[in-house]
Amino acid sequence: MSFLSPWFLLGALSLVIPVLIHLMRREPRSRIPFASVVFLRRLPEPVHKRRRLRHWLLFALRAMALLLLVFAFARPYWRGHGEGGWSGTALVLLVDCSFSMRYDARFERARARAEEIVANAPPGARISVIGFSTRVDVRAPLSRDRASARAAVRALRPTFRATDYGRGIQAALALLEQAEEGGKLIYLISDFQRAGQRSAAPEVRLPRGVRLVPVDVAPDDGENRAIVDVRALGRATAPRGAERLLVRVGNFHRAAASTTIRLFVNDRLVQQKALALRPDALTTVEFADLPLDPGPNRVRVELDPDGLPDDDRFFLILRREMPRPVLVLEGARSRALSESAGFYVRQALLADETFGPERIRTRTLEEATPNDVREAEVIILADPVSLPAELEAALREYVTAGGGLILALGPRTNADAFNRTLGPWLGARIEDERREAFSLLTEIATDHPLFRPFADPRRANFSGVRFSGYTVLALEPPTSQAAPLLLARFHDGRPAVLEIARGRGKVLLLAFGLDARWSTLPLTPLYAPLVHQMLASVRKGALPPFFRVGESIALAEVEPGTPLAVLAPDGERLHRGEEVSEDSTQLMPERIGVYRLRRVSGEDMVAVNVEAGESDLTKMEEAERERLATTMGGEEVRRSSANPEEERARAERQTLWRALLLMVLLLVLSEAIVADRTLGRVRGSLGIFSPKEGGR
Amino acid sequence: MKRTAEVSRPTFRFLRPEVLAKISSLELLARTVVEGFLAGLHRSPYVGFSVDFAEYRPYMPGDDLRYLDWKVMARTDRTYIKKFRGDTNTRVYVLLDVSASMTYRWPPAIEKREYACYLAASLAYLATRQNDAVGLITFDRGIVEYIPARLRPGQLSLLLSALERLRPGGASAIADALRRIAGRIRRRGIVILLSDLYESPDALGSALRLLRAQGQDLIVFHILDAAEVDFPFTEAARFVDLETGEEVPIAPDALGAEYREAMRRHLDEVERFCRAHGITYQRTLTTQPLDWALYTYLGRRARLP
Repeated sequence: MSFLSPWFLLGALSLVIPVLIHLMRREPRSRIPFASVVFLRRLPEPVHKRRRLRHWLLFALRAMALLLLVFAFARPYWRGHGEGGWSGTALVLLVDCSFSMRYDARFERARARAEEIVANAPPGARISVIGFSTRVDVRAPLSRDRASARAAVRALRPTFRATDYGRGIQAALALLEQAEEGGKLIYLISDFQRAGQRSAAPEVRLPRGVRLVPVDVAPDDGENRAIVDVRALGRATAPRGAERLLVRVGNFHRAAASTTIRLFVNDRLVQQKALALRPDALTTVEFADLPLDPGPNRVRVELDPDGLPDDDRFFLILRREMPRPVLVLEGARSRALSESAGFYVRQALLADETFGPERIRTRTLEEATPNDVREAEVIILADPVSLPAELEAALREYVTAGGGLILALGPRTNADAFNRTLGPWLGARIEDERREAFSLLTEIATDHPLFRPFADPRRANFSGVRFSGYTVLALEPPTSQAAPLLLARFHDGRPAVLEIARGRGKVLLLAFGLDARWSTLPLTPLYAPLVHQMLASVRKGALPPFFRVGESIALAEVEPGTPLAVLAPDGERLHRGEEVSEDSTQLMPERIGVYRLRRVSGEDMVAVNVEAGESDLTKMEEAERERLATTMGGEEVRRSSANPEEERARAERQTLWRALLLMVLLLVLSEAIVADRTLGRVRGSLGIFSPKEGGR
Repeated sequence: MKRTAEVSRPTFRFLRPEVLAKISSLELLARTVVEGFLAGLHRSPYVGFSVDFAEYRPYMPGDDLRYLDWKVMARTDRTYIKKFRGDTNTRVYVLLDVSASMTYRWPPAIEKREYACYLAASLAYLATRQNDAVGLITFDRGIVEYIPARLRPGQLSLLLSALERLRPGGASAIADALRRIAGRIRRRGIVILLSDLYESPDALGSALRLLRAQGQDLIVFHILDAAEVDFPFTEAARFVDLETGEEVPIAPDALGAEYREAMRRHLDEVERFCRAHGITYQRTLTTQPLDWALYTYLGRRARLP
């Protein structure tokens, strides 16, 4: 038997009260006049003789009634089959393992508090330990084994990832769903960094009966300086590759600070600057004339180390190579600029200084040659009216060989031609080439590299992009080829953005045009970065200058063939399953620095830095902390019960309190009868008479 | 002519004291008690106490044949009993304890003091009808009121009015009071003591011996409430002495039996002393009818010369 509200059992202590009163009241209070106490005075120990309990039956009835009442309030219930074990409190220790916890001794404090909670947990409580950041790591499932819980706490290590409270709490709730009835507590042990509220994460709702207990291990905001971002700017014609390096340095403190910034290329200090940092502001530092060697170069930018030294360094791999053009293919030459996808794409590309006009090659389908296709770094195909067979074959070959194609299905797209040529190859079919209906983008996969920079709606809000028309796409049944990956939908559920891998290359299939006829997208600030992200997403073989911890790096894109070995920044060789996927196609870096990818054909490198947003140590306000979790309403709680039969059985097991209350009622009635018979006599002996009887 | 009358106790019951308490006039109360009592007797209690002839009455079976008038029977062939008017040479003193302990009562009984008053009034009435000189002394630790015994018209009214205006006294010292009373009563007679006798048996015995030594014929009515003997209490309480105000906390369930034993020893000791010294002792509970006490008096009176 277990109890839903075991704290009510403390009410049983009230049984002690009448006994205590009895023991304390050794001196009787009532006074009875008597003719003479001369014989009473002579009696032995008239004062100290304790009163004995005389009405045992009455006492037993009352005590039993009180005990049963206490039990009824404690809501006892029988455990069902398969619900073995103690059903009391289930504790989930949700320990923040994000990068910011490396500051000061926050993580050590968090671990100590977690151990303290394990030590003080109620007997029989089931405990689980979860480390969370943007990744959730269940170190110990719900169990009564305290030793394993303690070991799990001690095994926790801080990561270089960012904080994501929502993800952590959701994982804890998923664990608690397996717990039976009883107290359910989530101890959120964290520095409560404001940046940890990832708005992109789904809203967290706490079911009824689950309590979130915040345990703050950060006494204050903390003082930190960090290199938050680095951009390499250059032109294809530049003799030495990247021409300039723009470094953004953040001072996350209310006071101004000064530091020195140093630039290392291939481990050689090449430049150094003194830097005055304004309070709570970002400062941009520019380095020019980088002495890069042909091929990949290791670049490191450093600040004077502070309390959080790992974000004072920033790693990049800059490759010195001649860039190839971006080919923009249009179905037909447009009469107006607003109808020209080429125009908007060109403007978007030129917004980036690394793109010179010479890198943008615009052709109509009629003008383009297979050679143009082969030379392109990325191909953007807008409004394919009808694709010449020769060009179609060249495109397929280009993609299969590792090229990147962005296919935008605009108003002039010919559905029949698409469904006959590229559609079957891509596994998609146009159902309606022109649906003139208002729509918005929803279900955007912000965890995909394409949309990752747009995860924060404060900086990128796609709800402002209105669509007046789009192409209705339908996915073909799965074949042996890789299935399309849906990255965004229109709000009616139709696919909007699809990523399709073919061979070693990728196709990004858009159900809308890149011009301004169907959408306001080209007119918004999102357009240029989105175009660049699309290019980066499908670009052949070109690795970005740096990655962040937690990003997935496709190793197959680096070079055809499986890499022979991946070395971590500290030189450790990584095995499959640890940061490298089982099929050796993905690298999920968890450390910062330069990873080396060793292949038969040579060595390549990827730079990995701390996950963005973690350097600002500003803590949440109290109100923000309260908003972290809200309580679910009754309707949703009812809906949450998955199995009605199980729910009914559980409810039946909890109805014991009704029987107890019935027993209490019977006992009270019995007590009344017994009391009337016993105490009535006593009252008579005390001379409590009615006025008619001539009472004293 | 000295005659004695055998007094037998009737089997029927008289009025209960709590019923008598509803009679406001003490004289009426005394008359009710005494006349009712006398009417139930087979033979007149005061016939034969004197030598003066009063009247004849028909012989009834059970009459003493010594009082049969043989001459009349010879002349008329009828049997008559000669009746004589009583005359007295006896003084009766009623000693009434009015200490605070006598105010005790445990419902439904009446106060011991009330009961003693009724008894004193009844005895005075009875004695007056027998032409005895009756006096009254009330006392607590000393003499409160003293009315000498006289045989004169208005004496009974004087006694009854004294009884009616009785007020509760203070603490009692029976032995001291009896010694003082012994100093006031010079002539021999009947001394009737109405008290709850809360006094040590030794001191009480000493005082009673003094009265006895004076030649007084002593009748002791030990007036008690039934609760004082039975101690029916069950709940623990502080018992307050009515005379001294002293409080004694008692758990009756544990000590009741011991109290009853102590009380029984005290009563036995007093009774033993009285019997040993020729003192008529009557333990009287306030729930008993008054006629029991009158029987006791008449029985004792009948033995007097």
